[in-house]
Amino acid sequence: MSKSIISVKNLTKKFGDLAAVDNISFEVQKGEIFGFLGPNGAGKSTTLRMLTTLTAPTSGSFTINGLNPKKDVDQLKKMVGLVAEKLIMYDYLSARENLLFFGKLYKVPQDILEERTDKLLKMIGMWEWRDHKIGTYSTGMKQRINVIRALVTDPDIIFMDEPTLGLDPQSTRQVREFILELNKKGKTIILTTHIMQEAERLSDRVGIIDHGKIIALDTPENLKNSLADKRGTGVEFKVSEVPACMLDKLAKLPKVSVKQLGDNRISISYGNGTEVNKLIDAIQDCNVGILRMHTSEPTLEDVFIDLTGREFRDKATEKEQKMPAAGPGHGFRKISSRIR
Amino acid sequence: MMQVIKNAIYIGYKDMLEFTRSKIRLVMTIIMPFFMMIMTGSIYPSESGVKNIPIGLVVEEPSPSSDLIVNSINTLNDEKSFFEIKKFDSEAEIESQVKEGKIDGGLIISKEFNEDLMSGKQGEVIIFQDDTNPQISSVLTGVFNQIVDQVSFSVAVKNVSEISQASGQENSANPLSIVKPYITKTKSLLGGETNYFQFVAPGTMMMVVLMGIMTGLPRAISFERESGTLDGLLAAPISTMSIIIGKTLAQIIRGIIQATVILLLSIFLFGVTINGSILLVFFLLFIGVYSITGLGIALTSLAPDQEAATMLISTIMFPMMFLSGIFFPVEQMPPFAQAISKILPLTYSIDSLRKVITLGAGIGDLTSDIIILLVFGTVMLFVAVPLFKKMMTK
Repeated sequence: MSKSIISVKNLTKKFGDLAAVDNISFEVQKGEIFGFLGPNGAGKSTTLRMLTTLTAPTSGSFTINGLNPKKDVDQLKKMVGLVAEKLIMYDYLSARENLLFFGKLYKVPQDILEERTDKLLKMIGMWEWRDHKIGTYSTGMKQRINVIRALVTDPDIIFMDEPTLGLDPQSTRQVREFILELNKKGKTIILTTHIMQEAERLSDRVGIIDHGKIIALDTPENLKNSLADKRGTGVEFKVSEVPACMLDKLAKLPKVSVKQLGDNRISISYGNGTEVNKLIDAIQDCNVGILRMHTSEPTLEDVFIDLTGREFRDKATEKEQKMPAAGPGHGFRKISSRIR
Repeated sequence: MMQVIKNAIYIGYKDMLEFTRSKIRLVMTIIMPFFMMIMTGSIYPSESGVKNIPIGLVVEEPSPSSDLIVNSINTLNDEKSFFEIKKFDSEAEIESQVKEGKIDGGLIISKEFNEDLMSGKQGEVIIFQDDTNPQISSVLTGVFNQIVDQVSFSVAVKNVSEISQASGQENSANPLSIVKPYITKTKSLLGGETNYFQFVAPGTMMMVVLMGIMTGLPRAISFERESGTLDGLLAAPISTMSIIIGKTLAQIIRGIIQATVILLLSIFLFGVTINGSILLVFFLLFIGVYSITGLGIALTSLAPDQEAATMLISTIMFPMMFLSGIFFPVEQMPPFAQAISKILPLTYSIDSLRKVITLGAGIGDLTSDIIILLVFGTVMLFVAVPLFKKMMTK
């Protein structure tokens, strides 16, 4: 890989006795998308807040592009863009005013700032809305502005805290595509998420964080492979019948275990190096027809469960995910229909 | 340093822009001082404000002397309509009417009044007052006393001149100087009458500005913190001082706008005259703001959220408002309250502003007030800024 742009050493943040971030060290390479994956309260946001100088670490240190936050804080801040979970924008101002305001604080020359602002607004399809107050926008529109707000200063590194939280599928896809596009233009992106697919789809490397500690850090592919190595890959067959002959033959193969799931369904797990041909040969040898088959690869969720021994989605996460969909909006509709 | 100020101006401008976008806030900015002025100006009942107060009148036995008193009450009332006079037969009736709240007081001319006069004693007129309403009572008592005094005075003058005529002395002394040898005449730095608005306008101006800072600053900062936009400012390569100065600047401008509204209302609606320099008035408003900003920032830093900030502020604001001499002169307060008022910066801001507006004092007359305000403000800022910085990177 290329050279590292962020280097974190033994970073710790304590709130009272509780260590929200517990002695973590890692490097982020220039030009990569680095994903922090973990359940709520794992310490992702706190790590991001420390790296963007919003929170002072209890101990430990980090550098960004060789810059030390204690000495070169202003230069460091200029290199970095922040897409926070709580939207950073003023409801009473228009999108354009918001962008220009933040650009000025970063001393971007006025002409460059205006040109960049207009370009960004067009790029995300918000040009027509540029002079409307943010307060009148939908959640998806707001989030798009929230993302480009971090870009008016043209930072090399962009931190994104749960960039798709609370968005509908369409807006989510737009934001994700935009992130990939930015990355193609050479921006280094560090994002946090509690959504497995997002980490998997976007990140070059994923750091799985739990209880303030990084418990795994690698490419999504490697993380899954290492679990596959350990546990074996699974494959499920729907077959015409399940004779004893077939189960026998399969079980005799090395590094293979078989389980019958139903009248004509079996599940096989096989270790690395085993060829799938051998499984199929064994089935055909007993004159059994294969109606359907699918392999099930381990997901990052499986990796998480394997590492922590817990389900990824704890109760708190579940609750929060259900809330926005059925919560206030629903109640409001009920009330308004009653009024009518 | 220049960059700090420049960024502060961007932030202040942004805050003002937000502020002007909200119509209701704009309208309230103008209306609030208006209400404030009317409210504080009318809090004290004055003689000129007394109109049609229901009172009871008992004359147990009409006589020429009692007629004199009743007539002069009627004459005065025809002119100024202070009272709505109801006639009753006995003191007991007045008592029960006051209890029922139908009248606010009464005047009783009893049988004994005539008897005493006939037997060469002083005639006693009884003023009955309602203890539940001390302010109206004191006004009523004042008016009644004045009437009885005047009647009694003119009767005395008449008697004296009759006596001197009867004794056959020509060109004798002026009866006035015998009956009332000493009189007073009121003089002050200002010609004409002083009204309560003149007293209350400077205090109200200062109060509105300072209240704006004290409630506005914590609210503005807490709001940005809770909505998350403060992170945007903190992540930007700007000094914390820019945020503090910028936010304060926006609040000051808003406060000065309101103070100007009060000033204009005072002059054109309530007849207040500005005897000193207008520039000095605004200078003092700025100094007053400077003195209190540190306190506002410190409170913001101590409060974890908007609600706590509001509670903290109101706990401090109310004693400050009442003890700093906005509504009541500090000299009228009990000693412990006076001691507290001496440590409140607001006391000095209001005192100096009142001296300029009412007495036409120049900057030279205010040196001690200004020094106290500057020192207080600087000390508070030294305490507040580190607190604020600590709060922000928590």
